[in-house]
Amino acid sequence: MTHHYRINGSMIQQFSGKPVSIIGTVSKIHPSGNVLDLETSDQQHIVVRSSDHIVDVNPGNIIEVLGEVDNRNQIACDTIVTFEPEQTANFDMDMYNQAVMLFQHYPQDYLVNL
Amino acid sequence: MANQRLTTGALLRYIRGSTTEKAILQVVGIKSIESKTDDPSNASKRYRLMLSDGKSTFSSCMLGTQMNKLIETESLKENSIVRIDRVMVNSIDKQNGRVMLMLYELEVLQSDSERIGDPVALPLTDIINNNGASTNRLETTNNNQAPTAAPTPAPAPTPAAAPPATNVIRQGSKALPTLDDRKKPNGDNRFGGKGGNSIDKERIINIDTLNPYMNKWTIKARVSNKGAIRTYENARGPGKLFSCDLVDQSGEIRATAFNAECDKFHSMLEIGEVYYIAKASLKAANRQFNTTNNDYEMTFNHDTIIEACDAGEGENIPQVQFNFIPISEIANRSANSTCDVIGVVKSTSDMQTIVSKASQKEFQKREILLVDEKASISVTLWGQQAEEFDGSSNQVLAFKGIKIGDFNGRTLSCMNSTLIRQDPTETPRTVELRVWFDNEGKSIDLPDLSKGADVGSRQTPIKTLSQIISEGLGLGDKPDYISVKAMTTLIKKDTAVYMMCPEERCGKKVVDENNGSYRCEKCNKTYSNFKWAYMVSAEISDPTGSQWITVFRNEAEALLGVTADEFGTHKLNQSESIIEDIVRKAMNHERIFKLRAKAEQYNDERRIRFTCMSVSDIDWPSHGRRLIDEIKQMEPTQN
Repeated sequence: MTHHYRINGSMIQQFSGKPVSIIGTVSKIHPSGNVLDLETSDQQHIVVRSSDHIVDVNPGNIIEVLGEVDNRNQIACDTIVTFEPEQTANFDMDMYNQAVMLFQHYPQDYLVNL
Repeated sequence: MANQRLTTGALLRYIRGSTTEKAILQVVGIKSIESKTDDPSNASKRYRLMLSDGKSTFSSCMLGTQMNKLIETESLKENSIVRIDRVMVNSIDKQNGRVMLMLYELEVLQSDSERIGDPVALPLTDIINNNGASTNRLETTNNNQAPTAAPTPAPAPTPAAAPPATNVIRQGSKALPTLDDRKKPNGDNRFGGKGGNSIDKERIINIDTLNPYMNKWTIKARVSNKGAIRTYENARGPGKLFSCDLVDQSGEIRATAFNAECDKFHSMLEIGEVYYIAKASLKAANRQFNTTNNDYEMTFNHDTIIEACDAGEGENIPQVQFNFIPISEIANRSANSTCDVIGVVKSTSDMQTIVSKASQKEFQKREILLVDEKASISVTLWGQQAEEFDGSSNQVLAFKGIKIGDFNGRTLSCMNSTLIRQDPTETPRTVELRVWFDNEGKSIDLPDLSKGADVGSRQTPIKTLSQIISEGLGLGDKPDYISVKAMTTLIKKDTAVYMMCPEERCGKKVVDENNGSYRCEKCNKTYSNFKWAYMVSAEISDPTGSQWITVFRNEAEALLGVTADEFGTHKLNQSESIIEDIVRKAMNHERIFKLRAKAEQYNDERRIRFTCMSVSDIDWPSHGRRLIDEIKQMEPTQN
C-alpha cells in the first residue's frame, strides 16, 4: 500500500493530488450515501466522496479516511477505516492534530516506508 | 543674482573630516578676535565666522587672515553666501567637542542676501560622537542629551547628579567619576588597559569561541541573569562577589566579579540589557557552581571594559530563551535537575526561618503556590528574594533554571543562578495564563505535585533503558524508581515459578522431599503442601537497550495473564505448548514497567537488581502528549 500522508484540514491544498490519510469526526452523511462531511483534527470541515456506498458509519464516529485530494479540495476516498467505540473513547484529537503538524514540521524525522 | 542653494549637511561632514567638499554656505555671524600669539608688531585681526549650511550652524570657523580684506571691504558680511574652496579641521579637544574649521580659501558668491532657512546649532553630541577610537567613552544608552542652545563648542554642563557609584562618563563631562582617582602612569585612566580605552567593535566574536588563550576579544552580550552580591570569607580574608550570565546568539557564559570589580559592575549591569565586554579573564568552568553550557567562565578583572550598547545596536542579541515545561511534566523529571517553568502565583506563605542541620545556619524562606492550567506546585524562594517578594497581585512568574526537588512529591527551589521574571513580555504564555487565571484558575483546585498525593505514578520518572547505564541508576545508596516503556523480549519460563512455603508471610522456597513433604528451612518446618509463586526473570527491551528484570507475584500475573498456581500446574503437567502460548502472549508488546533499581552485594560482586513494581498498559493519549511536550522541549524557539 502506498504511503498516505497524514494531514489535517488546513493542509489539504498543499497535498492536492497526493494520497492522504485524514482522521476526523463524521458530522454528516449525505442522503446520497456516498458523500460525508468530516470535521478534521483542526476543526475544519471537508467533503469526502467515496466510490462505494458508505456503511457502518454514523455521525459522531471517529474515522480514518484514505484517499486522494482532488482539484476541488475534497477527498476522493477509496478506504474508510472505522474503529470500535472502545478504541476511540480515549482518543485525543487535539494531540493527534499536534502530532500531524509535527510530522510536517520534521519530515526528516518522521519515518515512513521502512 | 540668482538665489544660491546651500549645501545642507556640509558642516557636519567637514567636522567629521571630509574636507575635500566645496560646500556653499552662508555667513550668519562675524566676530573679530585680537590675535595674541602673532608677532606683536603686527597685531592682525582674526575673524571668527558662524556659518550655516541651511540646516545647521557652526560657530567655530576661523577665517584665514589672508582673506581679512574681504570683511574689511564688506564684500564678506552677514548673510553673504560663500563657497568654501579649502578647509581644514583643527581638533583642539575632540573629547569635549572642541573643533574648529579653518577656512583657508573661500569665494564670496553673493555679498548681500536674505537669511536662508532657519538653521540651528549643530548638537555637541553629533560632533563628539563620530570622533573615532581615541574617544574615551563609557556611556549608558541614554547618552544623547539635548543639543546645546548656545552655539559654542563648550562642553555640555555636567549633569547635576552623576551617581558616583556607577562608572559612566556622561557626554562632554570633564569630571570622570572614578571610584578611585588613580591614573595609570602613561596617562590612561583605569577604565581601559594600555593602548586603547575603548571597545573595539571590529573584533566582536561569538561567546562560544571564547577561550583563555585569546588575547584581544570583544563580545556583545545580553545580561540574562544577575545574582545578588554575596560575601564570603577565605584564607585571604573577607570578600564579595556577584555572578551574571551573558548570552549572545552563539551561546552563554557565566561571569563573576570580585571585590572592587564587584562594586564597579554590579550596579551598572542591568538584566535584559546588552553590553560590549572586553578584557576579562577566562578559565575552565567550575561545574560545581556553574551549570551554564560553556566549558569556560569569565572573571571581570582590573582591565575589564564594559560598555552599554546604544539602543537598537543590541537587537540582534537574543532575549532570554525560556524552554517552559508544564508543571505536570515536573513529575516526570528527576530530583536535582533544573527546568524552566511559568505559572501564576496563587498564594504566598509568610516568611519562615529554618535552621540547616548541616551548617546550623539559619535560612529565611517563603513558599509560593505556582499554578498553571493543569497542575500546581510549591516553589521556595530564599533570603532577600523571599523577603522582598509580594505575591498579592497573583502575578505570572517565569523561572529559568529552577531546581526540582522531590520532597513530598515534587517541589521547586530557587538557586542563586535561577532567573526569575515577573509577567515576562517575551512569551505569549504570560497573557494566556493571566486570562485563564482571572477567568477560572483562581477558583479551581488543581492537582498539587507537592502534596505527596498519588505517590505511586507521579514519582517515577520515565526513562529509557539506556539511561539506566548513562545515569548510573541503582548505584546510589537509595534505590531508584523509574518507569520505562518497553516490551518483554525474553522470559525464562523454566524458572518462572517456584514452590513456596505455604506459611503466610514466609515466601521461602521449600525443598521437595519427594515423598509428599516439603521442607521450609526458614520456618524450620515440614509441610504437606506448598504454594506456587512467581519469580520471573524477564528481559525487557526498548529502542535504546535491554535489561533483565525480576517480576514477582501480582505483577507477574499481570504480565503472563495466568496465576502462579495455573502456571505451576501446567509445569507439573509438562504442558509445554500451553506454557509456550502463555509466554508468547506476554512478549513482544509494549507496556509501562515501573522498576526499582538497587545495588546489592553478592560476595565480591556488586550488581544492580531490577525489580518490577508494576506492569501496566500504555495510555496512548497521555503518552502521546508527553512525547509532544518532550519534542517541544527540544525545539530552539520560545514557547
